[in-house]
Amino acid sequence: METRFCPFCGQPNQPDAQECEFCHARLIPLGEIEKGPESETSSVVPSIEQEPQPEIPEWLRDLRDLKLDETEGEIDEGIIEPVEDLPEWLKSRDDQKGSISLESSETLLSDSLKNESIIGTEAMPIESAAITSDGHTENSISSSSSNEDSLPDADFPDWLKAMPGKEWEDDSDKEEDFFGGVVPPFVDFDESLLDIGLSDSSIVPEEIAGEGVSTSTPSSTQETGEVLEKEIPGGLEDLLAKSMHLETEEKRIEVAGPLAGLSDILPVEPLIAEEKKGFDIFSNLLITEKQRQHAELFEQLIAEEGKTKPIKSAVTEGSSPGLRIFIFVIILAASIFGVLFNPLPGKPSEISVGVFDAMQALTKVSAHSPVLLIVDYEAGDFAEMQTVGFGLIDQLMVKGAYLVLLSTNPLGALQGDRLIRQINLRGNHDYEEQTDWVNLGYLPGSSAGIQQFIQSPRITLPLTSHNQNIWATKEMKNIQKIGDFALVVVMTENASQARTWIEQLNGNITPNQVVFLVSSQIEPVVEPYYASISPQIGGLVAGINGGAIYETQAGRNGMALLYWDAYGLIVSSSVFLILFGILVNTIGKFRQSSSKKAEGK
Amino acid sequence: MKINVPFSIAIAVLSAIIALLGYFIENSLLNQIRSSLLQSAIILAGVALIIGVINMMRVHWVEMRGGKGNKIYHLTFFAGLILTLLLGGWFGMSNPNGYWLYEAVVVPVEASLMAIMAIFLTYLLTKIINRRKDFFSIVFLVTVLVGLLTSAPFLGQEIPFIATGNSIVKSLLHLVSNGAMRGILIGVALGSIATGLRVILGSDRPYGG
Repeated sequence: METRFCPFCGQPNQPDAQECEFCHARLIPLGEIEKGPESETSSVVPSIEQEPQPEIPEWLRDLRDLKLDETEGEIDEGIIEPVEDLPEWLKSRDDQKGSISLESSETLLSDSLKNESIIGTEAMPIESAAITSDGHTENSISSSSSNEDSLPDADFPDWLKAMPGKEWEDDSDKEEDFFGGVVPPFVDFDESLLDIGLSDSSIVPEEIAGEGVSTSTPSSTQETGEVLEKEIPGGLEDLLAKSMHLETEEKRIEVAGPLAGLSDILPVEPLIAEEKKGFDIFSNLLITEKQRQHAELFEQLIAEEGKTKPIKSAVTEGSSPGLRIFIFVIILAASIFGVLFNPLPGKPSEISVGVFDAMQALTKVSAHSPVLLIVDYEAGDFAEMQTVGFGLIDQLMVKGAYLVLLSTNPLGALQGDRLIRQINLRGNHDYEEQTDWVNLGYLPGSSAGIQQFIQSPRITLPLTSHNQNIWATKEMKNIQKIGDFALVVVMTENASQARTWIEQLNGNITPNQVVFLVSSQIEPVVEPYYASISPQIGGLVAGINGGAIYETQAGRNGMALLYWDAYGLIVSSSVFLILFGILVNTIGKFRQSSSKKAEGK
Repeated sequence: MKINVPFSIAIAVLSAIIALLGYFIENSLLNQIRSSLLQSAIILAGVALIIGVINMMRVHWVEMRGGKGNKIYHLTFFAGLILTLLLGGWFGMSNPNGYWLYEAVVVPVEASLMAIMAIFLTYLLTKIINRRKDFFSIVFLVTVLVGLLTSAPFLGQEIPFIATGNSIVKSLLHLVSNGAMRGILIGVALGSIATGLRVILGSDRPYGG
C-alpha cells in the first residue's frame, strides 16, 4: 500500500492510518466511507468483525473485545465477568439479575455519549440485541432500557420521558418485545444480519438458539423485516421505523480524531477529496446555437484538411527569359567595356570623413609596426572587399607595417592570404610571408573567441597557420593585448560580425586605432558606431565608392579606380534597365488589358 | 531544503557570472578563470566544427547507401572532401597546390552567385510595379534608384543634388538610414541584454536541460 498523505497538512502517514498523525484530520473522506460495506471503511460504524483501530477510544475497544469473547462462547452462558469499570447503577443491575449480557456492556458508554446517541437517533435505545428465532429479543441479553430501569427518573429529562416509546418503561412485556428485531446500530438497516455475523450460531446464546434460531436466521432483509414486523409491538414500530430511517439516511458516528464516537459530525474534508460521479450536466456542453455552429464549422474545416484539393493553376506572369538575358548581356557588356576602356571621365570628387579619418589613423603606423588585419568575409564578396581595402592596405605596405592576419571565418585564412598576394602584386610590393606578414588563421568561438583574443592573443592563438610562433619576433614581442597593436583593421561584409567586433573591441583599444573596411550593404550598420558623439571606431571605408575615394585621396591608382568606370557603367545600366523594364512591362500589361477588352466587346 | 538544480544550469550560470564580473572587476584570479572558460569555449567551438563535418559525411553516406537523393551529388561531395583534405592536409592551403582549389572553385562559384543575384534583382525590380501597385512598392523602387545613383556618377556625370559630393539627397539618405539603423541597434542591444540576463538567471537554457 502506498503512504497516505494528509489532504490538509500534506504530511505522510502510515498506509493503514485513518487519522493524520500530525493534524488528526481524517485521512479517508467520508465519501469513501459511504461507498459500501465492502470497503475498508465502508460502514458508518466499524463492524464487529473489523479489527479494532488504534484511534478507537479505549472504551469502544473494550467493548469490541467483549464481543469477540462472545463469539468464543461466553455468550452461550449468558454471563460474563463483571467489569470493574461498570458504574454503580450497572453493578446494581448485575446484582439484581445476576448476569449481564454482552451487549449490555456497551452501557459503558458515558452518560453524555449515551444521551447524545439517544437524542441523535430519536431515543434509539438499543446498542445491540440478540434475536431469537421468532424475532424475540431476550431481555436478559440487554438493553439500555433495562439499564435505564435501574436509573433514577431524575436521570432522564422530561422531554425524553415524553418521547414516543416511553410507554415501554412501564410494560415489561413490551420491554422485551421492544428489543426484538432491532438491528444493531453498527449496521445499516438494509444490511443483512449475516453480514454482521449474528447469524452465526456460535455467537447466538443457547437459550435463543434453542428456540430455533441458529443458522436458519433469516438471511435476507426482507425476511428479517417480516420477522420484525411480527414481533415488534405496535407502539414501538413508529419509533423503530424512525430510528432506522435516520440510520439509513445520514447517521454517522465519527470513528477517528478528537470527535471520535460523536454522531452527526459534519465532514470537513474538501469536496474535491470525495470521489463522486460526475454530473451529467458536465458531460453535455452548455453552448449556444451560435457556438454550436462555430464548432461544427471547425469540425468541418478539420475534416476537410485531410482531403486533397485540386490545385488551381496559378496565374503567373511570364518568366520573360528574353528580358533576363537582355539584362545579363547589358550588365556584362558594361562591366567589360568599363574595365577595358575606362570610358568615363574623372575620379570621385567626393570627400568622405570616414575615409579621411582612416587615412589619419594610418599616419600613426610606422615601419614594422604590428597591424592586425581581420579578414571576415565570404569568397563571393572577395572582389568588392579587395577593391574596398586595396588603398588602405597598399598604404600600410608602403609604410612597411608588419601585417598580422586573422579571421573568424573558416575560409578567412585563405581570403587574407589571397588578399595580401593580390595587393602585393598589384601594388608592386615585395611583402614576404613570415618576414613582413603572418597569418594567424582561423579563430573559432565567435564572440567568445574574439573576446579571448582581445584579452590575451598570445594564449588564444600561439601559432600561425604554418605552426610558427611569432610572438617572440621583434615585431610581436611587445604584444600582450590587442591594444598593443598599432592599428586594427576589420574587413567584413557581415553586419553581425561587424557589430560583434565593434562591441568586443570597445574599451580594450582606443577608437583611433580601429578602422573598418566594409561593403556598401553594411555601411548603415557600422556608421552609427562611427558617426556619433563618442565614436567607437576611428575610420570607415565603405564600398567601392569609399575605396575609390581613398585611392584618390592617397594618390594611388589601385583596384577601386580600376573598377570605378566599370562600376559606374554597371550602376548606370542597371538604372536604365530598371526604368526600361518597368516601361516595357507597363506597356505590355496595357496592351494585354486592351486586347482583353477588345475580345470582350 | 531540497536542492534540485540541474548541474548544467549551475555551470552555465556560474560561467556567465564569472565572465560578466570580469568586465567590471579587475582581479587576476577572476581574469584567469574567465580566460580558462573562454579558452575552453574556443576549443569546443573548434571541435564542434569538426563534428559538423563528420556529421555531414555520415548523412551523405547514409543517404547514398539508402538510395536517397541523387548519387551524383553525394559522390561529388565525397570527392570534394577527399580532394580538399588531401591537398590541404598534405601541402597546406597556402601552398599553390592547395591554394589552387580555393582560387579555381570557391571564389568563382561564390562570385557567380553574387553576379546572378545582381541580375535577378534588376529583373525583379522591372516587375515590381506590375506585381504590386501600391505606395510602398513605389517607395521601394524610388529608394533603390536613388541609392544607385548616389553610389556612382550616372555615365560619368554627377547628377546635381543627387550624386555630387555631399549632396542633399545623399545626406538625407544617410540621415534616414542611420536613424533607422540606430533604432535597430538599440533594439538588438536591449534584446542581447535581456537574453544575457535570462541565461544568467537560468530561465533561458540554449544548452538544453
